[in-house]
This record gives sequence, structure tokens and C-alpha cells, in this order.
Amino acid sequence: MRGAAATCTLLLVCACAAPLPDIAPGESRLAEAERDERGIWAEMEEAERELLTSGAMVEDEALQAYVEDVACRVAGEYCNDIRVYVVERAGFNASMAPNGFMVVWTGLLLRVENEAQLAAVLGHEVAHYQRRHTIERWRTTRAATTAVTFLSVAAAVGGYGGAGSLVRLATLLALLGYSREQEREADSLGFERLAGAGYDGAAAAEVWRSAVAEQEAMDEDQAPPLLLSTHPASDERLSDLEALADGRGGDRFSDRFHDATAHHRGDWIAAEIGMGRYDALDVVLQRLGDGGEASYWRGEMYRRSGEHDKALAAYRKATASDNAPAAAHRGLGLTLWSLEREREARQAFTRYLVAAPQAEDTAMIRAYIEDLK
Amino acid sequence: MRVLAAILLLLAAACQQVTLIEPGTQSIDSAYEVTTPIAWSRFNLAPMEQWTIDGLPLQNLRLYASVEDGDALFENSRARPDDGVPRYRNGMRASDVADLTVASLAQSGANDPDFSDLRPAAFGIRSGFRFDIAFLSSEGLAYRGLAIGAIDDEETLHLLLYIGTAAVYFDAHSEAVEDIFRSISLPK
Repeated sequence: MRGAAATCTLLLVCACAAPLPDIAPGESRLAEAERDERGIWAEMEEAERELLTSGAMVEDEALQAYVEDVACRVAGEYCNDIRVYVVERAGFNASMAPNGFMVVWTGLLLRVENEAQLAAVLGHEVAHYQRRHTIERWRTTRAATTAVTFLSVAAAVGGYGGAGSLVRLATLLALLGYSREQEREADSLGFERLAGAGYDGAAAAEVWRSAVAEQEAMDEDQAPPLLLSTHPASDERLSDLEALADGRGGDRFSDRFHDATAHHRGDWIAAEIGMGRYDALDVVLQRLGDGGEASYWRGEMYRRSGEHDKALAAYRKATASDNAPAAAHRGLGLTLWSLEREREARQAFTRYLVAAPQAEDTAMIRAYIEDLK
Repeated sequence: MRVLAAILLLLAAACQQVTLIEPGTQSIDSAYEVTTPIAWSRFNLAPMEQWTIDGLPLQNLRLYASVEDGDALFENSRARPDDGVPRYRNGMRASDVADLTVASLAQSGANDPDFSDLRPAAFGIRSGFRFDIAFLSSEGLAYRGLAIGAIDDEETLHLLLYIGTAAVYFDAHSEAVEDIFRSISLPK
């Protein structure tokens, strides 16, 4: 009851909140922050400072520059006000802080299929920044609690010794999740930015549908993709985006996106597998088709989730293709071993040693072969 | 609810029992014994205990005994939003345990964790495995690590994981840790 009452209070306050004027391009960040906003502003700036020294950012200057360039294309007049950080992190997420600090998770880059879809997410985030939606939410949330309480909750939940700045930022922004009205506004404005930069506007609805597909694949007790936690997606929103895009056309720049990201894809999938959210990952892997590489990763996912028969089929498909990683033979061997098919497992491990004679784990694989004799 | 959970976490941390371990032989949950040449401070954090000399954030030796299907290696860490918790599963091999360790580190907030040089090693009288670890903390501090483990006939995992800051604290006691690894003794 108490929670429901608090929610009602928050909704009433939100309903009465007046929209803020757009932030002006080049507007001084600190000067603009009014006295009552300085707590949240300081939190964001601290999170940004921590991120810069955290080692979380992707070690690929070309990729960082590429994402910055895409963000600039849709940011237009705000290009110089936005600082983009690509971080090595599994999960479907990107975020925009009110001080111009944009974080793009590599998990998002794994999920979008082309530059237009990436631009759609970034354009949407820029629209939230332009309209100062986080500050609006901060003011209404603060009215329902207090600034000190709010920041204490954010710190306690996020923690400072765990995942550090990313947790703090994600927690703050999740607590300030956008309202449906703000989402509609960011959709509309973000679409204008996307189409205005020459991208195919259909990409906007596609990327949000991908997030919804992941959510639907998950068990009900699992948290939804982080992007949806802060940006609730409704059928109405998706239909409106599709209507906006109808027949307008535009470019997708799939090759440019592929060139910038393809060499990281294996590491990003491995990170997702490590997190154990197999249902969501299955949706992602379906978009990669069923070639050697995709079949290998599907095999890894099924093997880790204990679905040995499915893993076996996927590894078989991978090892029969021309472009499977050598590790597909190792995965096949481990799966056959789990299925107590020792002779075939030994053969698979032997093929792995032939395919990857310099691999770091060759001594371990030889020990496996001995164990299987 | 989140505030309550945070308070409970803080209370749990405050109630952790710290004991001194003198040089000598220690039984780890009756699953195996190790002999340490130096003294440590011990924290009990089921399903493992952690030993440290200079402080847990600087270096720690995690000693896991009889990890079972469904157990997490880093159960006490606070998960990031949107993350699942990697868990040990029956049927895992050495390759999987190395992957699990890396995933557990990533889940607990480590940046760019990786393992290298996975190789066979004796775990007492049992055939086991070893691997090395490297990662950055959430503050960008470089860490190194060593792991040794074995999976027994009941498919439970025994694992020792030593982690320390790469600049100073890993090297400070890595020789003692190597002695501990060599001293592992399993009940007959």
C-alpha cells in the first residue's frame, strides 16, 4: 500500500510538471545547472570522471571514432556538446546523461544490424538531452522524495566498489526512467534527426522491436533489457515510428557498420554468453544467420546452458562449414564428452589441435585426450 | 525494498567473522587441506573463504570447496543491472571453469577479464588444472591472478583463486600461494 501511495504521489507530481525549454547548443553545463539540480549534476560528472579512468572503454580508437561520428551526424547542432564513450559491456543499452555524457555499450553494437539502427538509438538519446528530460524527471522525482534520499538510494543500490561508474550511472538513470510522454517526444524528435541525417527512418522501429523481442524471449522473472527499463516501449510507440518512416527511404550503411564492428563480434558474444542470459542471446544469434560463425556461437550457448543435443547439432553445422573457428572442434569435443561419446570426443579434440596448434590450451586438450583413452 | 536490501548487505558485511590463520595446515570445509607458510586474515563468505594479508581489495586468496551445480563463484558481489549470475554446472570441464571464472569477474564489475595458459596441474593426488588471470578493476587498477582447481567424482568443484594488484600486491605473496597450491592434500 505504501509503495502504491508513493507511486500515486509520483504520478500526480509528474502530471503537474511543466516542460523545460530545450537546452541551447553550446550552453554552459555548470552555469545552467540550477541550485537544486547540482546534486544530480555532480553525480553525473563524478560518474564520467570515474569512467575515464576505469578501463571500461573499448580499446579500439577506430571504433570509438566511428560511433562518435554517427552520434555527431544525428546530434547536428549539439555535436560539440556531446561526449561519447563506447564501453565494453554486455547488454542492450545506451544512455545519455543531462550533462552531455553519452555511454554506448558494446552489447548495443552487437544487437544493431546496421549504422541506421545505431543512429536511431543515438538520435533518440540526443532528443532526450535536447529536451532536458532527465532534469525534468529529476525535478518530479525529487518532489516526491528528497534530493538527499534519492541520491542515497542511488548510491546504496548502485554501489561504489562493484561495477563503479557504470552501475552508478545506470542506477541513476533507471531511477529517472523516462515517462511515456517523454518517450513519444524523443521518438518524434529522434526520428527527425535520423531522417534529417539521411538514414532510413524504418531503422527506428526495427531496433526497438529487437529489444521487445529479447524481452519477450526472457522468463518473466528476469529483468528486461536495460534499454527498455529506462525507455518503456509500447505497441503505440512502435506503430507511430513505423508510420513516420512509411515510404521515406534513406540509407542504412550496413557495410560501414560491418567494417567497424565485425572483428569484435566474437568477443561481444562471448561476453553475453558469460552473463548466462541465453534466451535473449538466442534472439540476437538468430539475426546472424546460420553460417559457420553463428553456428559455433549457438553451439557455445547451448553447451553452457546444458542443452547438449542442440549444442551438438550446432557444432556439427559449424565444423562442416568453411568459416568456422577452430574452437568449434573443441566445443564439439566437450559436448561429445558430456554425452559420453568418448571416441568421437577424442577425434574432435584431435582435430582442434590440428586446426589450432598454437592455441594456449593445447596442453589441457592433450590431457583431455589422455583422460578419454 | 532496495534501501532495505542495501542495509541488509551492509549489516551482513559488518557481521563477517574475521579470524587469524597461523602458518600451518588448514582444512577447507573438510574437502581438502592446504599448508600455508605465512599468516593470513580469514573471512568466511560461503560458498568459500577468503584469505588476505594486506586487505581484500589489494590481494585475496579465495578457497572454494565442493562447489555444486547451481552455485555462483561470486555470490556476494552485487550484480550489475541487467546481468545474470554465472553459475557452476555439473558436467563442466577445466575449459568451462576458466570461462566461468572470467564471466564471474565480469559480472562483479571487473573490466576486460581474461584467462590464459590453461594447463593440466596436480590438485593433491587428483588430476586438475591451472590458469592465469588478468583484468582491470572498475577504477582501472590492473590485477593479476592464479587459479588451480579440480573436479571430483561427484562433479563438485574445488578451486583456489589468488588475485592481487599487478603492481605490488600480487607479487608480494605469490610465492607463498605457490607453496599453498603445492601443499594441497585430499582426504584418502
